[in-house]
Amino acid sequence: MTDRLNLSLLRKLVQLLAFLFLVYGSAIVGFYTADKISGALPALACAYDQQTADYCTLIPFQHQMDHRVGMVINAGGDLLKALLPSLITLGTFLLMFVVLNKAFCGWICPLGFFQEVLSLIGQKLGLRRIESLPEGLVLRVRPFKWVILLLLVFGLPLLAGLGSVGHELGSPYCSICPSRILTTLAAGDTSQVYLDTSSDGYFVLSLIANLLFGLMLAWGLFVRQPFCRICPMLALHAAFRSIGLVRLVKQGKPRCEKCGLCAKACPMDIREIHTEMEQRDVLFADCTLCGRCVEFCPDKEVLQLKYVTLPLFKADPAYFKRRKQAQGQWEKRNLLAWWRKRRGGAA
Amino acid sequence: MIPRTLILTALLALTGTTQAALSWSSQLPPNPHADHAGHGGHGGRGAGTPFILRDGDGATAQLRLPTLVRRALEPDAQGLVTLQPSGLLSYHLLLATRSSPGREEVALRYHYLNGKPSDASPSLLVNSRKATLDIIPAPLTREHQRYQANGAYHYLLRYGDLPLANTEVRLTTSNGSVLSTTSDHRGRLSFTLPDDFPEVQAGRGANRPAEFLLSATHTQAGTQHLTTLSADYHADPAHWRSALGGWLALLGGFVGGLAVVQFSRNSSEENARD
Repeated sequence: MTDRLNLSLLRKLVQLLAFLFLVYGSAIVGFYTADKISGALPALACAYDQQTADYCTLIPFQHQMDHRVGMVINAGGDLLKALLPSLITLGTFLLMFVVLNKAFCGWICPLGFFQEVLSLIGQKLGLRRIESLPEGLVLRVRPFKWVILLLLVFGLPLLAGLGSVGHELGSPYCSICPSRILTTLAAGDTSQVYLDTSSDGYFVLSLIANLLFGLMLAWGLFVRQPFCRICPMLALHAAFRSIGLVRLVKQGKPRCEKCGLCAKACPMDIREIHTEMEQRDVLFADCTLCGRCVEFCPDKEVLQLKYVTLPLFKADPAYFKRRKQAQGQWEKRNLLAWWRKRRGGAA
Repeated sequence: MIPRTLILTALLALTGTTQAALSWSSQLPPNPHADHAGHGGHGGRGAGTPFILRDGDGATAQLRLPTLVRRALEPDAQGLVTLQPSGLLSYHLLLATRSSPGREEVALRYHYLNGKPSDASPSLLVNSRKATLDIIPAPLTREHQRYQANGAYHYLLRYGDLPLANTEVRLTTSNGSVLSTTSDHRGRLSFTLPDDFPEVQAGRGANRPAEFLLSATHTQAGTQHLTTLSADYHADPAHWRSALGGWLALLGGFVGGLAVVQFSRNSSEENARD
């Protein structure tokens, strides 16, 4: 890495390109080809966006639970045959997942990128940011992603297919997903911002969706990655993280106990990266493989991003020094500081 | 700018006249709550989808698969054809043709069927040669997108291999509307489907879809070419969805989020003081 180019900047560039591809990609791959890629990339690219080049994998899961599995269980039939599309969806997800592991979250997801942009805006406005959430809150929030995955992506759609709940719960996660609103708005389509009055269920879901998106906008200015912490895609990734080829490994040293810079740098507040001293694999369930912990580790090769056994990026004292300096200068430049300086100068 | 003129809201008799052209229509389910088109507009499974070939005496009908493989269709005396899954996932084309001296008639209808993913892009089907005078959707709707009232949709009018400019194309709906537009110099045209459902109920499944029919006529070398393209369309969800309510809820979430941040900051500062 040169003085100007660092891992975070490289990641932002990749995220920007991924955002453009996932939100406007049909302009590149063609309108109909975009349809064919559906369900392949496990990023939150939304099928409701008519310009996207890809569909989020959570959409077919919900539809298959509702329209295939639930209905077959209800009406009787070949359950294995009904499960086959879900297994194929899972297979395509895993194929992509093996290649990049959880780096999809930190490097490709459009919603993750959008939250980083919000964070950047908050920082550049000079807002008093909450750099780390309290540990108790972080621990309390963590199970929500599993609840959302199991209940909204699999449970309720299955019950809808069984006829136990209304059809409005056939794709409840999509109904509340902030990415549906984000990607359609980014494509110039405002039709997904609505309150649906056709039934109580649709009304509640549409209300939650808009409130959640508004909350994410507000919290994104102050807190890093607020929605990622409860995202079911993070949970889906976490469930299979041991088979991904990209790894985050740690070779703890006694100095680590007093340091903790890696945990402070982590946008997901994974304090275990700091405290874990025994196991080498520190790819925790909430990790998005953004690599910030490696960047801000001051000790040589304590933290490493690896592709199987091949090192991709290692902690390095010289890099850390440059990176910390660059971060300090970057954070000093904001609108509030500029305004204060201007007023001070005028006075 | 493509000229688009609303001519009139048609009388039933006029709609009846239009229905006399060779055309496809879906056989609507008796219960409006029965979602005949399946989820997201991409076709039901298993039981087959019924279509009616209108004014089909003497016409030959076929199903064209995404791979352009042709299968003959045999409409019964009432013109009824039940479309069975082909095994391929993508758009299929119902095509009916009838020729007589000095006249060539073609009826087109695209329908999405489930099955195994096909390697063939829908562009192969829509751009394939199927009629001398062709109305090509540009493009077909994608998943989660159906034709709906107040939606603008685009088409290309082609004669032989070339775009056909300055030709009138009519749109009639089963709800009684008639619109007309003229193709531009590149053969392009667009329609905004009329919001003409007589009694809109709240909810997508509560409204039976209606049918629209595009028809174009062109005479060349002593032969009159008449082509129709049909599809179903749905009531505009704006009837039961409030955009203002959505934006207000979003704003409420934003303001609430700011309030929570402020509240938690005050609490932690108080705790720190204590």
